[in-house]
Amino acid sequence: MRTRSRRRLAAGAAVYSSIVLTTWLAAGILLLLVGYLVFRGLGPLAKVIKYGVFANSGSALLPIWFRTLYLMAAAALLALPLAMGTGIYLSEYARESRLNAWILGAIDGLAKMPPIIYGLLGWGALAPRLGEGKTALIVLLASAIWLLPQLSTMTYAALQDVPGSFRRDSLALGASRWQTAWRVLIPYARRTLAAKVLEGMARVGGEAAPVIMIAAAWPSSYGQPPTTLPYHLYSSLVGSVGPAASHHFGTALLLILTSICLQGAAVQLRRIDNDLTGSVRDWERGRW
Amino acid sequence: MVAVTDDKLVMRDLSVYYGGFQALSSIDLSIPAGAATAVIGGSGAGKSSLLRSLCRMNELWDDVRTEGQVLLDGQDIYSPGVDVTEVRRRVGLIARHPYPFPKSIFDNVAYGPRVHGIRHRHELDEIVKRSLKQAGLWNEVKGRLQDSALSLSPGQKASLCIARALAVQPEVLLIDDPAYNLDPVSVAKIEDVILELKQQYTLVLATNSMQQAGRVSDYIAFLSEGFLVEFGPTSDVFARPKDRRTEDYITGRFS
Amino acid sequence: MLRCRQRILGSRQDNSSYLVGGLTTRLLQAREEAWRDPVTSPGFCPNGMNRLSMGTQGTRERLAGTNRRFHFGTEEILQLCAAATLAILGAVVIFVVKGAVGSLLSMDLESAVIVTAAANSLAIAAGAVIVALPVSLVSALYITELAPSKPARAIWVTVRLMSQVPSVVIGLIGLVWLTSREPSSAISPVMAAAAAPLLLALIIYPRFTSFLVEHLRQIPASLRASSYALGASRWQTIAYTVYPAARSGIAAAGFFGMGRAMGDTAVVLVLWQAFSGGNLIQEQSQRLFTLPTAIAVTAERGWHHSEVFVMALLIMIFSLVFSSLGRRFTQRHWRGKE
Repeated sequence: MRTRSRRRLAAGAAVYSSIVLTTWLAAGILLLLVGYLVFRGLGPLAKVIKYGVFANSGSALLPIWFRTLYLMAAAALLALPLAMGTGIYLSEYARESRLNAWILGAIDGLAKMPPIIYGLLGWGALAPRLGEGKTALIVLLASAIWLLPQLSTMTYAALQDVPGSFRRDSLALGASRWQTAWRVLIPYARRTLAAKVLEGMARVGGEAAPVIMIAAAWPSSYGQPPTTLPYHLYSSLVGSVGPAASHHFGTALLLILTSICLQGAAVQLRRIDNDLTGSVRDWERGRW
Repeated sequence: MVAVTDDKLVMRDLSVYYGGFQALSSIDLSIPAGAATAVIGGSGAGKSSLLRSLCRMNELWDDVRTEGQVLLDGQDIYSPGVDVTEVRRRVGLIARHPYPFPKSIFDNVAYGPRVHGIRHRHELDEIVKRSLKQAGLWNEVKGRLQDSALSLSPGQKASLCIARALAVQPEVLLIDDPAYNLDPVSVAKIEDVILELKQQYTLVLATNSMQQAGRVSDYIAFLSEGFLVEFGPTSDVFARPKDRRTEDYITGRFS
Repeated sequence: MLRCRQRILGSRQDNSSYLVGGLTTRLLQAREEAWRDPVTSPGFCPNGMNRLSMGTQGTRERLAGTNRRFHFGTEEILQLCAAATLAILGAVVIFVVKGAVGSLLSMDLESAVIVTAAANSLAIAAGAVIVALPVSLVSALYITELAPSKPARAIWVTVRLMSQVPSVVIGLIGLVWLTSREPSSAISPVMAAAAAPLLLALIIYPRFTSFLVEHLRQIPASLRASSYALGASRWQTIAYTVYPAARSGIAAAGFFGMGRAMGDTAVVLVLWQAFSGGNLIQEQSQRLFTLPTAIAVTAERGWHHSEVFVMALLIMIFSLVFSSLGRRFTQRHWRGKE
């Protein structure tokens, strides 16, 4: 038996420790970022929750936060039925063809489109038609349109991820495609679906770009109360001169906590899902 | 030897293509009613394709093309206007290595009747009980019908899938490789169930195992590379194979 | 059509003598009710679900079978959903393309601004990807291949939780970081432009890592097991088994990350608003002048109205190219088959 040379062992240890160091450093920066925001923002946030408004800027935070939550939920509710229908149709009904692949690619491309495009839609197409003052409605519509392709592809992917044996066995029992999708595939994929919806909501609630564009449609309304939390942070950052003030950190903390909570719920859902059906997945993998 | 009363399924000039590949070539075969027919042949001989084409499950592939006729009680199941779900209810398929749905044992068996519109709880109870009894699983699971089906052992899962298929009252039962990935004890148990079932149902089994075919089947169809080489009563085929390829396969000589 | 159904039905009645028991009769009765009046039969498929069929049987045949002029089944509803989605998305594309074509035809474009913005976008996004991708790859390898389960899980959860961090927050962090040592007037836009890729890397690092981890988990355990069984060391397994299998995922992540970093608005916009002095003419500030920033700023201040659409079209094309390149590496061939 040949023993490994010292040199190779040392090299291995060096590579290993550098990998560990890099990873922990990167994750540490992320944690540090949250920690810094908590450190600077917790005081102002507690005060704003206690008194309703920021002491030095006089702006109320909680109504904006509620409006953001409402926007996230409403956009998801608006987009979900249509998106799920599209995903189910493309996954379960449409025949595999070049056209179908092209449609899927197009929807996926639009799902990955930068949010500013959907802001542009609100700014250039929805705002002139719906008229002034309907900012909330326009933001909601633009967000729902932005979510639509995301949720469609996610439904498609979740259905495609269900082990094929379930689809096969259900159809062999004489169930229709819809019964198969509704009674077997979606119950199997429901946690993934819920996790992806939460992720999409987090994206909608955290993105400032569409609101920046839509607010730009009416320069006169610059001073009006902005619609969502990220836009509030952006406009107060841009509007203020000098270093960032404490209320910025309060807003940022609330924003990042909202995003982390939604993501945390999504992670938890996926984890339970993995435990529940891991055995089926393992079996499928072994069979192929 | 079971007396032949009628032909339940008749294949006329049946060909199946996957894209450019021909999986079955002009099969003419009659499956006798009330008997067990074993389809044997090496892997890739077209056993699974044959079974799937008998209940129109081949249509799950988009590039598949089926030519010829399959007559179920004289009615072509491929003629336009035939309800596919009805065909699949009457001709049940237990695919190779079936897997229970991630639901309770009860819901697994009740799935078929439910999708066919039976809602009343006591009817479902009856169907589930009878199906599980037929599949020889009732005594093992009767106390825990609401447990997850994924908690069963592999042999029990295979039995559960048989019960699930029986719950929709099929007339023909197609079983693809009942011994796949199972231990000998479970296989013996399933073979007992199959021997019971062939009293009531028309069975078609695809299998790799000559011993299994000899134990449970009344008729044997030997497939080779998509062609039907030989068909006859099991004892005749084993005793006097007409074709050399059949003989080689039975005696274990392969070219 | 009807006749052939009756033939099936009739033949089943003939053959059903061997099926005994009241239950069976109930099942058959239910089926017969459905046959007799497929639309209104009670208790049996009330919403017409099981009349849905597939494959060779199209809508036309089903229409003929139900004696109804407008048969509206689940398939049609889902088809409408898909059509509506496509129509809405098509309208978005048409809106941008139409606006861009109109602007291009009007010929009063400042093309220099557009070209500069596109180049800046590409440069900043490429910088972010170059910084983030190797770190993410290392992290993903650490999580899936090297780490004990608890640290791996800790990092995995951190990365997942941070993968949707709002970019405005990162913009704020960048602002604080840059102004922490000197007043904002002393910071040149060049410095801010150098910081932008690092900040964007902070946004895309968690996404890269979770994407790559998902990809590495798809590699079957048997592949690794057989490598170890052949006597390969852990490093050899990573180098010769895991890495080649992961290569497509790395490329895909790179392209998706490019698209994502290019499309990000808020980080660069916040920096631009803070450090350019709001002066578009300033040469140097144009380093920060990326496509989304340009779109937002032009819209906000009402400058160069016509260029907005051209830049939007440009960013759309870039995004489509990157996402289709990325998709090419993650193509799934499996589609509901056995």
